[in-house]
Amino acid sequence: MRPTTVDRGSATSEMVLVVPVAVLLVLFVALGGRAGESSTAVRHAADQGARAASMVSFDRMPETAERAVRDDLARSGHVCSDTSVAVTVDPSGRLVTVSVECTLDTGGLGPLGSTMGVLRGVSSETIDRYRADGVDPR
Amino acid sequence: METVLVLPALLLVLLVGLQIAVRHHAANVATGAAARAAAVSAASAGDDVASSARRAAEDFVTNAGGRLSSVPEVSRGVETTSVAVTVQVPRLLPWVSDRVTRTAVEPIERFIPEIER
Repeated sequence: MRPTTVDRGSATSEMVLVVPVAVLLVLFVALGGRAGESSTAVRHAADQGARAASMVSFDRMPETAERAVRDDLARSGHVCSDTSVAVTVDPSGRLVTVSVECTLDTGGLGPLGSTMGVLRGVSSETIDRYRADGVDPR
Repeated sequence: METVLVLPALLLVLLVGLQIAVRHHAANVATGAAARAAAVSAASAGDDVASSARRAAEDFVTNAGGRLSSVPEVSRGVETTSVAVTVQVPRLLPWVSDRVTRTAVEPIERFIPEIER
């Protein structure tokens, strides 16, 4: 079963084709994992922001939500950059919605680095309309 | 002859990919368990808060098919509570870490006078 002369080096040339595909596969898995984990983190940050906003007065909602979102994202480590936070209050004053957008950090992923777009997380939380002292928070 | 060298290298690359995926999954499970336990801790009061939070984390990890590496750490301050969950990562490659830890922090449910909100 000695390889004939024509076959010599064929495994090497096949590798030239296969290795880039295998490496891309690994990078793709890393990208998928990172995107999945980051989108969970962004949604969690939106939840935290909405919850924090629902506990304060209307005036302080935007800054409180933004701080909670950024703190939570910082706590999750890595994830994303260019974070923007939007806080909207339902006209009835019963619901606060926080939406978070940021760009996935794709450093170290080589050719797949530029393929990822923006991560979004939206969360709403009910505002207690009547507080303990009977004051309508509006 | 070349195949003997090249095939293991190729399999190694594929194993690295699998290991990354498995690790991300374990990290996701840890994140979910920590968030769940922190929510339980934030919404409860009393002496056994820590143990119910711990149980919530354990249930979450069990339901997700994972395995805890150590007992979840629950800490409660005045305003916030935090839970750290460490989950085992199945090891396909000998030199990678076999655990991943994620922490979640929640504000504790409490009465805040209107003036302080």
